[in-house]
Amino acid sequence: MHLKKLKLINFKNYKERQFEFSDKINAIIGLNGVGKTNLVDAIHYLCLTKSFFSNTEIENINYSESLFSIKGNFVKEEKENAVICSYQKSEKKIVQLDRKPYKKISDHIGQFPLVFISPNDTDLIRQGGTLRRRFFDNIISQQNKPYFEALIEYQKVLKNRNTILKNHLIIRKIDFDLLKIYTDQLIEKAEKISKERKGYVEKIQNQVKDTYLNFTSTEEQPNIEYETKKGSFGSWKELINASQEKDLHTGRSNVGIHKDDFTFFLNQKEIKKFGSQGQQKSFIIALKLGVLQHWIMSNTTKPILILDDIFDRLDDTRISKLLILIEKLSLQVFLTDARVERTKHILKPINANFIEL
Amino acid sequence: MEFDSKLINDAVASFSKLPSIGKKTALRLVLHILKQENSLAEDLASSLVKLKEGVKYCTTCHMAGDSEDCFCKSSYLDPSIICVVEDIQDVIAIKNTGHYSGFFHVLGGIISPINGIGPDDLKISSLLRRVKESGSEIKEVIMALPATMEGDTTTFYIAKKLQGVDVKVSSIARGVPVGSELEYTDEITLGRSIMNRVNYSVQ
Ligand SMILES: [Zn+2]
Repeated sequence: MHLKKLKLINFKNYKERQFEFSDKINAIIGLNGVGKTNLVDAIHYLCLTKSFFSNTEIENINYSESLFSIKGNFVKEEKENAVICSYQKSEKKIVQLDRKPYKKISDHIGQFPLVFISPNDTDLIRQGGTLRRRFFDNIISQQNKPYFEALIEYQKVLKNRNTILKNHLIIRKIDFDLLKIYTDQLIEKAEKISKERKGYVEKIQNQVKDTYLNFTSTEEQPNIEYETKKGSFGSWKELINASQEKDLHTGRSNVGIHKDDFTFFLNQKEIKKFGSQGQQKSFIIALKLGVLQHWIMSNTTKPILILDDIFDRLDDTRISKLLILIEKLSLQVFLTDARVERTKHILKPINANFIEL
Repeated sequence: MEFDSKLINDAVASFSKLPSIGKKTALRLVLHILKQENSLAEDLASSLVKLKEGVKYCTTCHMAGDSEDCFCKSSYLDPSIICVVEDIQDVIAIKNTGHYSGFFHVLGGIISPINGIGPDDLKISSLLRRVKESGSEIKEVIMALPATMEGDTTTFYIAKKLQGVDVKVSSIARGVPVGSELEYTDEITLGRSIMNRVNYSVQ
């Protein structure tokens, strides 16, 4: 799968602009502030119906305008698909596939998959579990529709359950029949999601290891552990039911897959605590490329890969190793870099399409 | 999109309070009304006021009508079945199928605590009373609620509350739409259709 053409109207710093891309490596170069990251963010938006960076849609609209639109022509299994994402102030966002608006925008997820690697990715190691859950959820959801649906439903049940628990704190009254229904739904979805998360981590383990070894040429062994409270209990059913008293006291759901985490190790030591900055960077790249490798092996649609501004963070040997690894995957890549000459030099051995902004 | 006219702005604000009407649509409606004969605006205003003042809700089935004399009092309905729906328009939709001749019960919504709707905000207790007080004349309660999580939760909740009452609780089937191809049916619907498949008999 690749993106052939892109047209931006009032998206971030762009007024109106069209691009054509190669189905291999596209290098977007230009000084800082010309809109390299905004361009790859537009591609992220087309694939995942939201910006990688902004929290609100308003931030995506060009200053002084009232709407933006992103139009992309994808080629997938030799067929061309047009995707349009548009948003107008105080209206609902619209996503269309071949001129037909989606009833549920979430149905778009997974159709045109994408993996984004950015310089802030080591946050994934250093920050809290929310980021790690979001990363794995995003990757699994794009490949596994039932997982994505279960996740959406889990969030809904969780919110409803928390609402009645919170009300209980205030009015000292709760409908136990309703609580039981939400608890059972929570258990059912948690079992499903947890099983998929566990299975997924097991499946990518080897790819991450191989990529790490290739990338760093060290003997260090990376490892990912899926951490879930379920471990000490037999099942989510026991764990969630056992938590009910506490939930009633605290006014929220204290256990569930919304508390899961993923821990990253290098030689059995937690990278968050013991890894150097270099090791953290290498691990993240190995993780994401490992994910990509597994993806390509197990799906017919190859995702688009975005490497935003990461050359700055890597030394020359790592950069060339990264390029070799990427070339092997033979998918469509967008990379951004501010140092025009360096990029041209690095990419010399590769037949890249240069887009100078 | 602010106008100098406060009158136009106010009207746009009012219209955009309606469901699925954005500011743009509201403005189009307001400007349309402005361009038409006076009678359109007058008729619209008076019918809205009359509507709100005049429409009565049946105290038994909670259907809306012009008088308290609801169609649920008529003797040609099958008194052994009652169909539970979310809202008034669902009554009309089910009636129009021509395949149902029993009672209705309008809940006035579905359970959704995040939207501030709990069981007590709906006509659930009146449904339970209606079934229990029928003295087992009502043999079946058909749940015809939306095929969403909230719909399922509500169905489940009512079924739970009817446990121990001598009545059959059923739910309308969900599956592949008539006249559509399997390959275009979403996985969840298709999955459900397979799980809740029906026996095929050749007579
Ligand atoms: Zn009635």
